[in-house]
Amino acid sequence: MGLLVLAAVAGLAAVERRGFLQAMLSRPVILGPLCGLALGDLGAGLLLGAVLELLFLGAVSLGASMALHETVATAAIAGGAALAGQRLGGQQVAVAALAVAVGLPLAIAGRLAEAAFDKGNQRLDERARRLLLAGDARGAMRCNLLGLAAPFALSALLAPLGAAAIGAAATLLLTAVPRLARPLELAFAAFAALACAAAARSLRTARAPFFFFGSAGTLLVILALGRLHR
Amino acid sequence: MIALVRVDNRLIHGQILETWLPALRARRVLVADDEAARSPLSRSALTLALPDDIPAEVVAVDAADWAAAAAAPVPVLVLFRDVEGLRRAIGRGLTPAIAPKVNVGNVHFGPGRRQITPSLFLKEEELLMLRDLAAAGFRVEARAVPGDSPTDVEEMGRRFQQARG
Amino acid sequence: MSLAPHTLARVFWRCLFLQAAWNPRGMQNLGFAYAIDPALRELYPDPAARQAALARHLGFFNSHPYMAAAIVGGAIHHEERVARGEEAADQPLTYKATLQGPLAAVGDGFFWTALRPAFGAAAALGALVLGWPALVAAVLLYNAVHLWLRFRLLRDGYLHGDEVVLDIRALCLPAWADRVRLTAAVLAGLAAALLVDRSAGGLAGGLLTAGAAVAGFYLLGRKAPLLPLAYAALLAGVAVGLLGGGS
Repeated sequence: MGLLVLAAVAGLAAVERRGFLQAMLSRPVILGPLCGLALGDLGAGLLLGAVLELLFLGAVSLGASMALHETVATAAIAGGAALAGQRLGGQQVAVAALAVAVGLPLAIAGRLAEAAFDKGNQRLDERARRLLLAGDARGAMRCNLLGLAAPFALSALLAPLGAAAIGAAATLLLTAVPRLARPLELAFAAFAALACAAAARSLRTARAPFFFFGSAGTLLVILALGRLHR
Repeated sequence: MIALVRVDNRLIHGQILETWLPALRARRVLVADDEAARSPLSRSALTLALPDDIPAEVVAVDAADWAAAAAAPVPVLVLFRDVEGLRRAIGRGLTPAIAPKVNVGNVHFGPGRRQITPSLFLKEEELLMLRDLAAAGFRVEARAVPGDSPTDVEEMGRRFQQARG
Repeated sequence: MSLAPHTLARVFWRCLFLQAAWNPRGMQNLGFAYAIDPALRELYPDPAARQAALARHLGFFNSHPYMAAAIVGGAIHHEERVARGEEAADQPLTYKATLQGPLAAVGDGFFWTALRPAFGAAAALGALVLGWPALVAAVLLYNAVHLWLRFRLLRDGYLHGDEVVLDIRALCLPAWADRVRLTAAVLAGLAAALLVDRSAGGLAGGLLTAGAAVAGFYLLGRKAPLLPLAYAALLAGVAVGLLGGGS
């Protein structure tokens, strides 16, 4: 049941990402918590959504040059982490690291699929022209909406499959080798740090890295001082 | 100096601002295009997206002063709408010595055009023109943004042969 | 200006589907025709005339999906004059061809590389500090901004035609873009600090995180691909954990 909801959410998000609206609903920071919620673990979604948002902050498609598919990867990763977290009853961070490791390739798969769909849409274009010539203006215009079907189907299929795979893999591994939990937590820490570096690089303004590291450094010092004080 | 000569149907747009200007550290843009130079709407629209510190000039192809652009103290990005405009400029003083790098970015689909890259559709005579430019000493490549890997003229020819019409 | 308000409302709704059938040849061409169709239907009661008008709008089009609303509006402005016989039928097409590139540049530069990342970073920070209510607020605010702007652009394009360029220039989006990006950098930095503070326990964790951040920042600057770096970071973490940081 949860996976069906995830399929619907992921499919709609993939449509929202490019074909319709562009209202940020498909961005990791929003989609992650939604997918986590769909599978019963909002917390995992909030954490992964925030980290993946920073990782993919620079993922924008400009013209015909296409970005990684952050949406389908996020849906699978957040959904899978929520599944595994529920089964294991905790170990949120270790699970998150495994979810990321299994789910990230979907960002590339999604990009390749979108490129193929774009080519396929040329047939919709040709069909619209044919229908218009035949006098069916309404039918010709409906062709535009047909382009939404493939991205929806892809994401609605890949996200729950990926989430199920992540859920199974993480549950299996952490039950079989519990002492991997701590190394995996460190892996997530290193990954989160890389995501931060990617965010700092993604804002293409000369002074952006200084502002980024300035604010990050200041807050880290404040947090450390606060801990010492206590 | 002329940092790059680029052929792009859309002249100044997102790829130029977000990727090429920073990558080339270009501080000036020269648009050589008859249609844009003629239309007040076009001239005012083309400068809409540029930051205040990067001036742009929009001139007809035959009116461009290539020696002056080459002598500019800052890197200049030169934009043409199509390969034909570039060819005309080469007849009027644009040489490999002052503008060694030629990039073909976006040329949209049309009758008789075949796909070379996702954003580049060439006619046979354009391909031949680009081949001539390469033979004349220009370094010719096709790519949309600096992060893509470049495609040289031979590879363009191969892809043209493979692509169906 | 004669178009019925509900026709303009339908055009606005359809503008949201601009990229539904994006394709390498015509790019947003089908989406543009789809968006302008309700207006053409009202302007050209004769089916043959409407069909001809629709056919000319199936040509190449690509712009920023938000900013394109201004071009749809302006194209309707010109189509109205074509329908009244005041202009040649190629005027709407010249208008589209002239504005699509520049407005794409404005939109990419302001929305895709400044405002949306800023909202993303703010939402990430909010998610870590406040939880889901911060996300609801971010989504509502972002949507208010882009929907209001898209509606304004469509209306101004329709009412003002070529002068919509002046309306857009008055928004000073390129000048704002830099400030918004720096704000985004500060917000992303704060979110980064929280994440690092929470996930890195102990000395090994602290050193590992610092190392991953510095190495990642350097390598991304040298154009290293993102996903392989992500796996390198994950592996480094597991390795450190297995080799002694595991207690």
